[in-house]
Amino acid sequence: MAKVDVDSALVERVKRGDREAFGLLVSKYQRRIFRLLSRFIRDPAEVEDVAQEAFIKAYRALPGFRGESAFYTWLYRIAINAAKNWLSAKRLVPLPVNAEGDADEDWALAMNTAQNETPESLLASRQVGEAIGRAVAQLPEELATAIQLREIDGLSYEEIAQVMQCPVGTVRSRLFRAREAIAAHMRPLIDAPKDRRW
Amino acid sequence: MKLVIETKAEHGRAQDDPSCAQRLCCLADGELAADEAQIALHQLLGDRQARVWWDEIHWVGDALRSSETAAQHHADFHRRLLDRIEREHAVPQPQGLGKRGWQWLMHHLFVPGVAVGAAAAVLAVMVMPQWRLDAIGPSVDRTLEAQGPVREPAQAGAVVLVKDNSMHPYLQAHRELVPTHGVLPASAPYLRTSAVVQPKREP
Repeated sequence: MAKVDVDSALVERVKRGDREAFGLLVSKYQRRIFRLLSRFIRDPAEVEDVAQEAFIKAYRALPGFRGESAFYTWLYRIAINAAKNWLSAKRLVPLPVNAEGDADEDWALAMNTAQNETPESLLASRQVGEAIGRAVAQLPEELATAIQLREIDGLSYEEIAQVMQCPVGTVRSRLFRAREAIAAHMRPLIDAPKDRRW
Repeated sequence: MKLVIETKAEHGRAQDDPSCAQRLCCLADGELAADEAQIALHQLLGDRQARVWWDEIHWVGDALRSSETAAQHHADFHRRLLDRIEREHAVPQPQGLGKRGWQWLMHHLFVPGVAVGAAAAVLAVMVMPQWRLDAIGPSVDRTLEAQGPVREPAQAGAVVLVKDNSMHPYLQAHRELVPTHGVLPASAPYLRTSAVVQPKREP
């Protein structure tokens, strides 16, 4: 039975004019894009501006996305070019371009890395790390194993079922319960009420 | 195939409906078959709480892989981005315009375009020859008096009108039948008795 790649399904919906579908892709990838951009840009407000530009560019370019690469790979290139253009504009220096016509990532990284951690970002990162550590420590072993096999090792449900010697339906249930428990530990990290965060 | 969409999640939190929440987990993991995925997508797109749960699923995954990534929280970013997208025009659709697109084109471009084109054609075919006739004035009478087709003197490269005097009785009869001087009655006989030819280049 063929499984549906959710990114492809969402991309198709966006192409048909469904903007909410694009919102789901944003929900999925925004933190990775923020993290990527924060390697280049120190100011969180500017990170957000560049992230917004990157997502808007992706939205505009989506009709031309043919799915030859994974959606995130494509989005990553857009975001990294947005960051480099921002750096180039800020520093008023020409942006080196590599053979593929993309801005040179190594150059941009060399220009800006190793100075982007702020006390706030370090604190936030530490809080998340502690919360996730507590959450996983309190999980029953079968849930902790299932979620780690899935999220860290990237195993399919079938593979997890083989490793854990249980039916696929049990894997589904365990992953859901593990996520629900971990999310309950992480929600207090964000001040706003649960249904008003996003 | 028409799918029967479950809408339990619309009445409460996605997590309160384990089957819905679990299905969304499977969707996020790419572990649903096409029909189940369609149901889950409908739930996601139609239910705010389902979308909150969708975000949490990915947040948890990010946190397990990297606390730095999961700590990247920008309040209201998602809403502001979608507001901006809302202000943007619809996504250009290279795979065809769709029914609405064609209706819009027909309504805003094709119909006015046809009307403008028709007006221009009327102007070119009916009115402009009449203007030329008026401009030529007395020379028309002279050509009518002459024997056989008369070529008006013209400069090299100009369009030359040739009048056939054998059509003169028809023109007279038409003038008598239609005494008014509207655009069509006046110009129609002229059109019938004229032809457009390119002058030969002088050696």
